[in-house]
Amino acid sequence: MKRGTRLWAFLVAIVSLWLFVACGGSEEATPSPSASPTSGQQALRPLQIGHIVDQTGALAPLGASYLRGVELATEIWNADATRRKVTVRVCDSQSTGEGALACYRQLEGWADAIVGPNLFVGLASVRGVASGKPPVVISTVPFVEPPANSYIFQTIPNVEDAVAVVFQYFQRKGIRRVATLTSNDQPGNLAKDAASKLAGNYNIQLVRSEVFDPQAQNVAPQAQNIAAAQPEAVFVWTAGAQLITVLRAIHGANITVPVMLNYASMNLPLLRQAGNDVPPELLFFATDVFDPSSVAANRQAYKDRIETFNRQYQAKYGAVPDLLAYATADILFIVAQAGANVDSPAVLKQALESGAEFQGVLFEGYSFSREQHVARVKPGFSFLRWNPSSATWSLAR
Amino acid sequence: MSLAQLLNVGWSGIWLGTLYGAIGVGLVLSFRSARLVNLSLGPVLVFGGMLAAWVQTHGGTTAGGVLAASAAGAALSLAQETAMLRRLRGASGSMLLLATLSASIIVAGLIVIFFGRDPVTGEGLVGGSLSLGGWSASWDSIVFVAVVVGASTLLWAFAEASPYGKAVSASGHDPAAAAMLGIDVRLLRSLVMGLIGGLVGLAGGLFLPLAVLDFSIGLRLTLFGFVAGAVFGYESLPGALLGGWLFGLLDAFGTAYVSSVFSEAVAFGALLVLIVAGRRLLLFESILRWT
Amino acid sequence: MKGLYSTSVAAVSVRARLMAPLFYRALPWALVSALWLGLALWSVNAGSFGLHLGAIIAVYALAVVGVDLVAGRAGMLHVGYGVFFGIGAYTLGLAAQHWTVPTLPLVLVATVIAAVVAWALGSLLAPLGGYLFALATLSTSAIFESLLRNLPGFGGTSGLGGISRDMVGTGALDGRAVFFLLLGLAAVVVALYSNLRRSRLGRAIEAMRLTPNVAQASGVDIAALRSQLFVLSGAIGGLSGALFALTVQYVSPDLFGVLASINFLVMNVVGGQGVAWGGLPGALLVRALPQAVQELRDYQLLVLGLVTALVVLAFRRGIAGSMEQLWDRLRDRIMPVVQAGAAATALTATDDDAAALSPASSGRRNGGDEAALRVEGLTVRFGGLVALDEVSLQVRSGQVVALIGPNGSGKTTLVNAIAGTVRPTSGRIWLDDEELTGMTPVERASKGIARTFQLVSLCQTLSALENVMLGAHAFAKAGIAQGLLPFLARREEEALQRSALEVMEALGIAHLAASRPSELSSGQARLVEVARCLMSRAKVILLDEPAAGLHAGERANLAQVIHRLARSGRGVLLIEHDMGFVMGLADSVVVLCDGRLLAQGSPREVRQDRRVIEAYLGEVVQL
Repeated sequence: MKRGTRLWAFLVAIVSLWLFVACGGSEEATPSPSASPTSGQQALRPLQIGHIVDQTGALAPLGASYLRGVELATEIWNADATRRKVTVRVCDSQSTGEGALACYRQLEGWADAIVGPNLFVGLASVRGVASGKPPVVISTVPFVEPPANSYIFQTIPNVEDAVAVVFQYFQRKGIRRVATLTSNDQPGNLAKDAASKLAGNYNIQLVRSEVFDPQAQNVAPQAQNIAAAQPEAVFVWTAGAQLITVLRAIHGANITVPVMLNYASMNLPLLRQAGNDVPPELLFFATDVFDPSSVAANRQAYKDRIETFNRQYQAKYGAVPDLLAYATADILFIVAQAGANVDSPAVLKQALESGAEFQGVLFEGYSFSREQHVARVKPGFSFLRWNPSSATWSLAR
Repeated sequence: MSLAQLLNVGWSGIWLGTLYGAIGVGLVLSFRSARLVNLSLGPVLVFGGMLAAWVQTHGGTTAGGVLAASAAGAALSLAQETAMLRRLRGASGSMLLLATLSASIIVAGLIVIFFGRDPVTGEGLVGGSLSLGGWSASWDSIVFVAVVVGASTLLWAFAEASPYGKAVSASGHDPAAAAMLGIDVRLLRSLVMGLIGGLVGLAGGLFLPLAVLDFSIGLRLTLFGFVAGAVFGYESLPGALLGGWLFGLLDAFGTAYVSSVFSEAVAFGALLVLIVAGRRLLLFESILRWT
Repeated sequence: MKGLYSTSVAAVSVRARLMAPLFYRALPWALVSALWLGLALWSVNAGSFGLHLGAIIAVYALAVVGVDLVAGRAGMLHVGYGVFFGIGAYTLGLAAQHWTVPTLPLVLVATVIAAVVAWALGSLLAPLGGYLFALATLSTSAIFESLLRNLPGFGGTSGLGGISRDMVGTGALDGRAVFFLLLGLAAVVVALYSNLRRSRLGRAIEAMRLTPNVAQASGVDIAALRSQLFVLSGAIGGLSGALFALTVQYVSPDLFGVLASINFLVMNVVGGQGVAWGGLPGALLVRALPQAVQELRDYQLLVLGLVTALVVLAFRRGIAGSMEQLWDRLRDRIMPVVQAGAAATALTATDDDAAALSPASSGRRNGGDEAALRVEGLTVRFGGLVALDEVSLQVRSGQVVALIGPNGSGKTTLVNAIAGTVRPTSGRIWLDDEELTGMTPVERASKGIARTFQLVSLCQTLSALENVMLGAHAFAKAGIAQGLLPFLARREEEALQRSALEVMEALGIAHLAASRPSELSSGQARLVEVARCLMSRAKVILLDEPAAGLHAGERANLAQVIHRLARSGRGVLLIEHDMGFVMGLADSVVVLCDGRLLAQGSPREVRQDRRVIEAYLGEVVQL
């Protein structure tokens, strides 16, 4: 580069750097009162919802699903003019706890409620600062045990409850020797610990416990170890792209016994891509939202909700929603319902704790109480079998 | 664990190690020709793989996808050379490293724009697997290892034996002197970058059926490639493949027999011990001399 | 020699440039301080997020100083800084789970732990070279991250929270207090670090990085220095990590592993290696920019990459580095000559101090019969090749011995063996009564062996004067503490400067003191090298082809200088090809051929020796 050009580029670079930093740093919104001070009728401004999601970094693929759920739910909700509108502001937590904390700080003055962080790393970092003060934080992370009366809520049942349900199923089927293969992250480790703790209650012997690194491209060693232990079933806990790697490894180790996976692995695009390179009997414990045809006749309204949501998701994104998308969509619906008439985040918290039932897509009803900030959901888990040839799930009884 | 299962674990270390080795070969060659460790090779590999997936889902053949991947890799590397690296002649080593790092971010950004953030996998050229007793390996993994080894061998022959290869070494060692000898350093460097990109893209296309790719794993792959290349000192092309296999096997056997929890710590720990102790034993130097 | 320079006009203009008026020295500092002040003012209006981000940037600006010590100054590719940062942070994190204590002592404990780990790792890794060092530090980052994620009690991937901001037991600091504290600390650390370059260690570090053989020959213990820097770097990493934990009140493994180490390296390079305040623009780019481009969604990464590429293309030396370079160029153009009086009063060291460092005190004046340097039966084998075969020679103090011979006869090998960089297979070397055989080059340098190299090697980033001052490295004492706090060693520094100027005056190059090596002619550079040798209280000076590349006038000057060296009581061993140069100058000539001693004697005797003529001279040289 010639001297003059370089100097010019130098100046341009400096100026753009400063512009970027200046524009980036001044995102300070002052909290505005929820109700506008007009006499008589209380005109409520739109409900302000922040969304902390990983759009970049290692967890970004999961973040994409979470984002889609919120976006679609916002559209669906706002389409009905009789309801109080919601506005969503998205912040990228960059797959780090620090990023999630930074996002929380950015949103705390503005949001009435925050969706997320939905991954353990993010929520753990925010938890300390967010417990005692508004805004309300609702997450799908299934293990945080939000303190009673705090501002943090959790919409998915705990990992331990999920594992208990699975072991109950195994016991019903007469399965005694079980191997576990769990991801080496917080939910996976919780599942592993829950499994060792609960196995005895259900007459189950854990013949092998293997873990794998969430970013691993090769899970064959673990799969070989499991095959060598000759279990009667394998319990797998994973999430995101690792799913295919794990399934391939299990298939490659010639494991033919039933393989049970967790609900977060119900990712249709990934399973489709795995094709036939999967174990012959692949089960998931999830909700019946993944097999709408199995939804009982007396829950027609719920069935309609599922099908409408799926249709709209398909139209907007060209795919069927996965669990992550359902989960965050439901948080948005819950907050929108609870926030219908509130004028402050504290009141929003009370509305959530009131015991009222909020309708969602993944689960029909969510309710909280002052002591219980983990949602009680209706109905609970079911078991689904994956059919690779038709790329669908069917209820496994 | 039976012998067959042991072999299976070993084979998984080999094909994963081949991935690292492919990138390592690219890194060694780029070092030889331009004294540059090119950190963008991982994302280029991923770009190639994802392009191959895209071709498959848009009506193309698997083979066509692999070729497209290789071509895309070559194109990306060439673009990097002409648009950026060429203008940085004379910059310090760290600056060049940073330049290639920025290139890797750009390629990751391109992946997001063209292919989205969702992870993908795809079909291989040959389906099914080969089974001998209890040992089984997918044909795709065999093809992957064979092609990468073959392509690396060709590159090695080119770099060591052919007159062009010597010219490449010369231009890396002392570009001014090489230019005076009539070597068109610019052209040669572009050629080499193109070859490297082509190799890496090809590896990406063939690796697709074995793994799951997304925009965020590129840099991590480069780092492992760096490990593969550096074990034998960045001087030796076969050394990069060997380094990759060494690391892949360390990882696989460490995971299977020592600890799947601390697998990374074990693999890197073993490597660290080898480096520190091996220096004393001149282990690496002698292997280097052999290759 | 003493007192000469205080009146010489040439020396006056040197001082003018060296000890620039306060204004010129202070201006860059004023600008940087203005930057810091600007940040402080901005914080007044910034909300909680702004203060948070600002505090983090300040911590990183501090942290990058640690990276720069190893990667920038020592020139080693350090991909393991995340480890020390993490040790600092996790010390606070772990402590927070078990005890409620004020965090200030914890911060100090964290720094110490990090320093200890750095010492242990440094002794293992610092001797590694180039990419192996990078690989080894990369491995430690990976191992560290894996341990943090998996060891029980460390919080796993979720990390540890609840770190308090109560520093001294008086209550938790709020966001603004934390920001100012960190800003202040960062400013202090950066200011201290910037002093290092002008100190004895700073010179040694530059030489170590750019001309390691010269550093070694001047008595710099490279391995020890590298370890020292690694430990200091680790300590700073621990300190900044602890402060980071304080700011964010939460730690998790992803912040301290391989990618984090790479991020630190990037901040260092982007900001500018070797520049004390480089951490600030580096941190801004790496931490603040991603924040700023969030709105761009799918184009985020692409824009991030493009901006980084643009910065790399526009700022070859990093952002701060390029700015400093620009400032240097501006300053060179407008620097005036200052009054002699004003400059002379700037020095406060007395003549006695200068005398202590003066090389003259170590040379013997009488040129007695005892040999200063004695080499006996030296044999050097490289694999199957015999480079030197039973060579013996003597150099008496006050004597000039020339070493001649065809190319490949082993002359440079002999000099290397005497200096200690080559280990002989057999043979012994004495200097006065002490046996040098088996001593390291650094030890020999402190005993009184000095040398120059075939290719002129002056450290390009040091001025000519600083290159000369480097020669006295082994005899000065200023260490890291004095490097960071220059007032502790002001007298020693000034004494060194005085004697260096004296020496340069004696060689007629005092007017070049402030020049950069790139501005010097070969002859001048050679003289600077000789001056450097003189600074090391050398008893014997080894000159390897000093006249190469010099024109006639410079040669004559050099010959006079060498003559004077001998007269001052030193022994000189001189490798040369130029027979005319040698004949007029040497007291004794030694001829080597194929590693063996062919002939030895006065110049006249050697010139007429038939064997020498056949092997080397080719014909009788007429005087």
